[in-house]
Amino acid sequence: MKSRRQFLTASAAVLPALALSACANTGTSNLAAASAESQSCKKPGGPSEKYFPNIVVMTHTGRKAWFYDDLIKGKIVGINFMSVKSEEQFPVTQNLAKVQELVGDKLGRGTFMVSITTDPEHDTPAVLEAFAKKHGAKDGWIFVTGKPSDMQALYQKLGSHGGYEGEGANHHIWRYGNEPYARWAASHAMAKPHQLAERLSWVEVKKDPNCNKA
Amino acid sequence: MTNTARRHMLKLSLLTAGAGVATSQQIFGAGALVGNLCTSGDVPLAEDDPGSHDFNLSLFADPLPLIPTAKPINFPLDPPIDPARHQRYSEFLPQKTYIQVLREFDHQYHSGIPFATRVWGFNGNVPGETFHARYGEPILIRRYNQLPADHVGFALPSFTTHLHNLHQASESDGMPWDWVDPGYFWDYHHVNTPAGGDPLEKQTTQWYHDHRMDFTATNVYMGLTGFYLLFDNQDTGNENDTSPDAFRLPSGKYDVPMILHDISLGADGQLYLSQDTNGFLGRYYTVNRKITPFLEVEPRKYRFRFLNGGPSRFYELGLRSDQHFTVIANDGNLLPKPVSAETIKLSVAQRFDVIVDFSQYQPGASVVLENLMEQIRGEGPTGRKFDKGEGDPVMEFRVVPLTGPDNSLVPSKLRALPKINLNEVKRERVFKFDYFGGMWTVNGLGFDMDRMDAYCEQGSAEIWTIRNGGTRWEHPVHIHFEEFRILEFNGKPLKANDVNNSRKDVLTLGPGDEVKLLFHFRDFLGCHVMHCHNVVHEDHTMMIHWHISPSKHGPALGGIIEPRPVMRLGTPPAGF
Repeated sequence: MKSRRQFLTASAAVLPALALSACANTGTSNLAAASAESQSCKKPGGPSEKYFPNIVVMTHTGRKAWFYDDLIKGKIVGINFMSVKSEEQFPVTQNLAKVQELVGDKLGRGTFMVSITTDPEHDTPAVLEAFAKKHGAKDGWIFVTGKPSDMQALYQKLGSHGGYEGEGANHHIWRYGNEPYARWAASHAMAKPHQLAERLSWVEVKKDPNCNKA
Repeated sequence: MTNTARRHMLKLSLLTAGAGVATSQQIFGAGALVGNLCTSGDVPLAEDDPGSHDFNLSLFADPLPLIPTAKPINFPLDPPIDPARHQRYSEFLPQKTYIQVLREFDHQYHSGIPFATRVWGFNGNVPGETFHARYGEPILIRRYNQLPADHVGFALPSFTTHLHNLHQASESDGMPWDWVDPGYFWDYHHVNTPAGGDPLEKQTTQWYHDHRMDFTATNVYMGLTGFYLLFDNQDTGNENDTSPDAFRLPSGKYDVPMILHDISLGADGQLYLSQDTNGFLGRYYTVNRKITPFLEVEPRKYRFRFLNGGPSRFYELGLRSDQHFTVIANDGNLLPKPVSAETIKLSVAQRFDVIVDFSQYQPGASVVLENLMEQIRGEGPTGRKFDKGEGDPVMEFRVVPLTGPDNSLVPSKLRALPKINLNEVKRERVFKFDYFGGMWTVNGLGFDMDRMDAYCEQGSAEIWTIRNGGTRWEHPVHIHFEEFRILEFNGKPLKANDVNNSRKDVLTLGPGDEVKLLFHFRDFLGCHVMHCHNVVHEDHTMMIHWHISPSKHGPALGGIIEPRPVMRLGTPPAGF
């Protein structure tokens, strides 16, 4: 099991919700040791690093960020595609604002929401900042824009459904997962808010309740 | 995309040449492909996926694993079952009890891979043990979750085991939302009685697999599948049975269940699964979780139970010889009479029981089983088919000397179909399988576990029209609980000798296809689902939720609330 544990990097230290030992069959979780090991590495990758493009993006707060390193790695995260102009037709941000309320205190503390614009030419950081403010986005909900070619790359990798570009294409996909544990799935961004919030808890590592008996 | 390029999908060296010319009936029937779905050729093959490693494996290197048979326990369950959580429990008291513990362990997919692969399975078996159940003998299976809670990888260590498509109550059916987390267990009660008490509704080759909401594809791919076979006074499982009712089909070691999965492995030998919501195609074919194995067969009759375990690949299986299959069952249901077929087409979750007679071969001969279906994308086949001998090799049969007399028979008549009585039909509904906004939909909506899509009155029948709204994808649609009958396919009734003129639980819809089904709701109340069994589509919301209710208005007016499962805390007993 050592080989599996080695994936767990320093990023786990920022995830109090994940720092649970699991007693099932795997012995003691090695999060602390893995965390110490990785301090010697400059940019340790997580188990999902090959899947997520690590490109430079701009956040709605006007900061540059590495998409994988800064926004995904070490986190439980929900990812969707949106644009300010399409919100009226596909009100996903309005729906996710309700999810944010249900995620509660976990938001920004291990659990994050990332909304990627499909219209970067219009959705500048300043426009996204105003949009985020309008929807009451709190710390831990990051709107992302950048070079059109980079946004297209993210869209192709995470949102594109085999290149199909039909009506409403890809404005409803909501990917979610737990990066350090490489658990990824997708659901419908317009699902009921409590269902999306619950999904973020599904991918948390749950302590085996029988551990206390041993 | 040329066939030549396509041939590189499996980088395995082929040893056996094909022979024979296709002339006879092929099993396409209601699942016929429409049009040419192939696109411009810019679609990456499995081998182009950086996560899929080529181990340069040789074909037919390992024997086909023969799946062990499940054995009942001989001690009482502790804690005992909670009868209040099971419908009609006192009427169908379990006569046998089984325990299955779901764990992670190492498995060798091919002797040429220098790594063991971590898999999930049942009591250390992948596929899980095969259940041999009998009609009139209810059983109970307690399943414990001992999967690693801190598992790192695509699968979620949380299970719900669906027994596809046994006639059973909702709480024992393995609903997507009835999951069991590590440290807990749940009891599955299987009554083993035919729908409506009608002997013509008896089933034979069923299977169990994980159904965890959003994680079915991942958990099935990780290993959570197995067979559940049903026997009765005709299909007795004994080819030497002297009872006049007995069919005497090939039995014992001559009755071989085979589950097909395609997989990819990373360079570290661990299972690799992409995040493509269209579906997933693996680099390697496996049978009973072994890559392109061989099976030694005697020159006599065999019963092969082929099951497509997914996740997304479709098959058209044929033998590289002039040998045909004698098909005796479709989706686990014996046909009225055997049908000879050169090839059989299996979409995900479909089953065909076939008889293959090797008596024409001398010891030393070999026959390759191949897949003639071209598929380059997870969403469905291209519509093109390879010539005999040009398909992908799946496994090899090697003929060895006969060890005893072949007393098995293939009866000219098997199980008649129940009569269709349209006077029972209370309602018609239409379900369109389609795509919207990056997700797979039914009637324009993604799955919502809080939304009931249909209340169906217990004891009634309904006609459901299932339509594929897509232009380039296929959907193997699966309806839980009872077998359906196809009334019309694209506006026309099936021909009498069509093998899909049978009881079925998976409907293969090509682009634009529309099918009318007859479906009954007997014996139990409660929630069930209908979904695409391309499990990647299923996980991405292509599912509906329906309910068998005491009245057409739903359970609230009927005043009866059926029991729901609640996972129970506990660890397995000693020895498990």
